[in-house]
Amino acid sequence: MIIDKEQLIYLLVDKTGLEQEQVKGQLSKLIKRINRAAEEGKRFEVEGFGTFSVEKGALEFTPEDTLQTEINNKYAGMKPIELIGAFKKPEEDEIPDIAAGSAGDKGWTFDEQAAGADADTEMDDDLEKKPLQEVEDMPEQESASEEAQEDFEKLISKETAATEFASDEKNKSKKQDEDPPKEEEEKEDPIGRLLVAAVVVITLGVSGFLIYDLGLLGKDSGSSVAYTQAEEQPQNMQTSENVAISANDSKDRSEPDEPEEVGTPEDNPESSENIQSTYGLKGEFNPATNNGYTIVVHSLRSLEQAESNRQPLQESGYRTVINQANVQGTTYYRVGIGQFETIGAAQEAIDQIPEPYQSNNFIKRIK
Amino acid sequence: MNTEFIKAFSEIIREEITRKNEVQVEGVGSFELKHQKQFQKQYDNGRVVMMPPKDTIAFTPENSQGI
Repeated sequence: MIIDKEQLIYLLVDKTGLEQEQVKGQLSKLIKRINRAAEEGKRFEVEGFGTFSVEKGALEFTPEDTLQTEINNKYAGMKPIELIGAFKKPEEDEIPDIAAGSAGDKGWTFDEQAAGADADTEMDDDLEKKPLQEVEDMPEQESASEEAQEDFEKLISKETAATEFASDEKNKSKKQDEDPPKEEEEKEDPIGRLLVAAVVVITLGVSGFLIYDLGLLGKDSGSSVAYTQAEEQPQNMQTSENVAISANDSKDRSEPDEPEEVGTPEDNPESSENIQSTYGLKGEFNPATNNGYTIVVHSLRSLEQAESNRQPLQESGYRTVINQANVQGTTYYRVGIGQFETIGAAQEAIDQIPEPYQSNNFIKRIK
Repeated sequence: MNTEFIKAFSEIIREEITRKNEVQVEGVGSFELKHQKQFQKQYDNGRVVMMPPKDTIAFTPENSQGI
């Protein structure tokens, strides 16, 4: 539909509410002014609409941004989308942007040729280099893997010998044996080194398992390291840990004293009975015997609460002691019952302590 | 000629253009809505983008129509 002058005037009358003659006059005035400005080569700006200007002898109109956005409101806010990897030759489609298209086309073909040339030279280089590399690489790798295999076999044979004797000296010598081949491998390719590293790890794992499996853990001095680590770990009020702790403690105690007592705490109740005055469940706490064990029944953060929990136990005639322990930066006050020379004695005494504590306690060395 | 008239004039042209009508202003030219489809565009640096579609005002001056 075309809006001609008549319809435009009618619409303007409708819009402004002016008389038809007035509108006609206003419109012709506006047109005159636009044309006059165009003749003088000036720009004529209509506010909220656009600018009329003269370009190469012809009148041109540039809409204002607001008008342009209003006209384009259906597609407002849409931005160019990057098409990654979607190269399309601009000739074969309906791209109206001919200038950009032809430029792009030239760039495209040029790139293709250049890329092809590059690819060719690369191919040539590869052909020259590849066989040489293969010749160089392959024997090295094989020799390395063979060496690693030999090392592994050697280690395994040593391993079996070592585990039969299971002495520390053997372990040390074995480690010394392991080191030299490692250094040799470092000069060669990384695959050989990796293999050696893997072999070392596997060997250590196997030896550890064998030592553990043959029951040599108790006498092995290496296990004392493991023990000290376990001692530093925080202890919880869990009876399930009793076994572990007691096992560790018995080991610890056995080392400086008599190694024969390992894992036989049942022998000790007799001795504890003999020294009934210093050790026992009931009676007065004896501070002189400071190296025994106690059954910890409370572990609290405040000393006052620990004291108040200790009171009823002390009144029932139990030996009580409050131990201060530092677990992960927090100080705990542990209320213990009884003094025992051995863990075995303490474990037997657990049956005699009041009911609520029988299932919720752990044995700890008095420090 | 006052600002109110100019305001009404531009509003009418705007409205009629959005209704896809061509507005002829005698002595000046005609205003028309032109739709631009979306199209692929390749920049000189090889980037390919999809330009969004858009509607624009196309102005045809009267004196050049006859030529």
